[in-house]
Amino acid sequence: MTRRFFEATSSVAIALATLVWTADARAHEPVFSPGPHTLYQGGLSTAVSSKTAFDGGREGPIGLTGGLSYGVTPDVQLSAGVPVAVDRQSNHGPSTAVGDSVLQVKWRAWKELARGRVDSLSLIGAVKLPTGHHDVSPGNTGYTVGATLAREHQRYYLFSSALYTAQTAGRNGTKPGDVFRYNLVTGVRPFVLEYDQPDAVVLVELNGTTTRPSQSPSTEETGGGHGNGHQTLRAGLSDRDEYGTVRQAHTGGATEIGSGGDSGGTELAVSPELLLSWGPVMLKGGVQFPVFDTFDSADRPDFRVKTSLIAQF
Amino acid sequence: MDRTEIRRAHQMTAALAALGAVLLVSAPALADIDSYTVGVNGMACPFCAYGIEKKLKGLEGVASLDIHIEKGTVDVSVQEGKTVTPKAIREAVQEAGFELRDLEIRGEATITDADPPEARFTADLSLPVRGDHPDAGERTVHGTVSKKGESWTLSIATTGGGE
Repeated sequence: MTRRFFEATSSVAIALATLVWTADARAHEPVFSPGPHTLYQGGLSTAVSSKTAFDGGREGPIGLTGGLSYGVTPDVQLSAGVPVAVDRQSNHGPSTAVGDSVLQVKWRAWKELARGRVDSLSLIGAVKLPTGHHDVSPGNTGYTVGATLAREHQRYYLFSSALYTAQTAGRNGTKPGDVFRYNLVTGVRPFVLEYDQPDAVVLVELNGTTTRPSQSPSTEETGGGHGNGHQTLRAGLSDRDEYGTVRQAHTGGATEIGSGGDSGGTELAVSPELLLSWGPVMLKGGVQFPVFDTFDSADRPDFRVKTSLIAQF
Repeated sequence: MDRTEIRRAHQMTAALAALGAVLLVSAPALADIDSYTVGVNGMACPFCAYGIEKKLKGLEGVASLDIHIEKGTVDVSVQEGKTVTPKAIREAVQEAGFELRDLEIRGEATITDADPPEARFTADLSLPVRGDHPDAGERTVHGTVSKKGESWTLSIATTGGGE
């Protein structure tokens, strides 16, 4: 392996370490958190999402996630997602790497339907598998369980969700911190139009994330702020995805933990967003502004941008 | 209206009710259903309602759909000569993740106990009047049958044919 390839891979590793690894083929749900909606029986949905963090005017690497969902029954949905990191600002030109894949099952355990309204509760289980490239994947498995409760109305939306991700140790014995995510979302549909017309929904999310400290074989609880050449990138990409975080990077030599997840802490963020749909296609996007955190200061970006394109078949 | 006419009207109503009851219980076949108006619970947005379109259009015999988000209804036109049963409509709605609120049938239909039990169910019936009744023969009577839960109601809304 050449030094150049190694450096490029290491850079991508940092990017990949921050990727959203959820199976991101969701429909009428918030941009940064899940909702209880499930596909119709036999339905297929594909999604492509892009997520980037910005810090000090600098754009971090892009996390692209391709997802596929299938409606087993009207209330059970299986999803799979594969992330790809794209680092456009690498010193060695654009580089990409495939990350760990995610499998997810969602079960709409309760629903109450009325004219123009759905109240429902779904239980979510997901597993992140260590299938990514060994230079960029930490080689651990993450198990996520959670629930999401919502009222979806023709005029307004109310979502809430709570998810806990337990992480196993990676191939070098380092265990990323477990992650607890909690979200509250509200939104309105300004205009109730007909089926064949474009539809718009405006949402605002309040996202909370609490991450436990990472544990490595050498230190039981690793302190934050490991300095290295990727500090800026990490700061720009500091990210906590829907079902936990993959923040550690294997940079080739010693095992290294990403700057955010190792020390643990809590972040609160506000995310305004817009959902646009027309027929079976939806484009949605949002900007997430961290407003409070107890992480290292370098770990907090100015904002994150996420967009998704979803199609049902 | 004199007493004879009143008596005749009562007789006719009784005969029609009896005929309707017989049809409800015994006749297994569906006649020509032209269209349905399907009341759907849970249809909150166009994107989510796509499953309804997929499922109902997947039924053999469905000619076209018209989905009304705000009213929460779907108008379903049936191809001429084809049959789409109320039960199939109900299953399609459920497989799409929604709930049948009510089902209105236009055309000639026979409702049986196999039809959706939880729905408010309305149908227009064309009932030929037979037997010894003076008004029997070629006349056709239009009535409505409603089913809510386990209760059936037969109402004669209008009568057609020669008065």
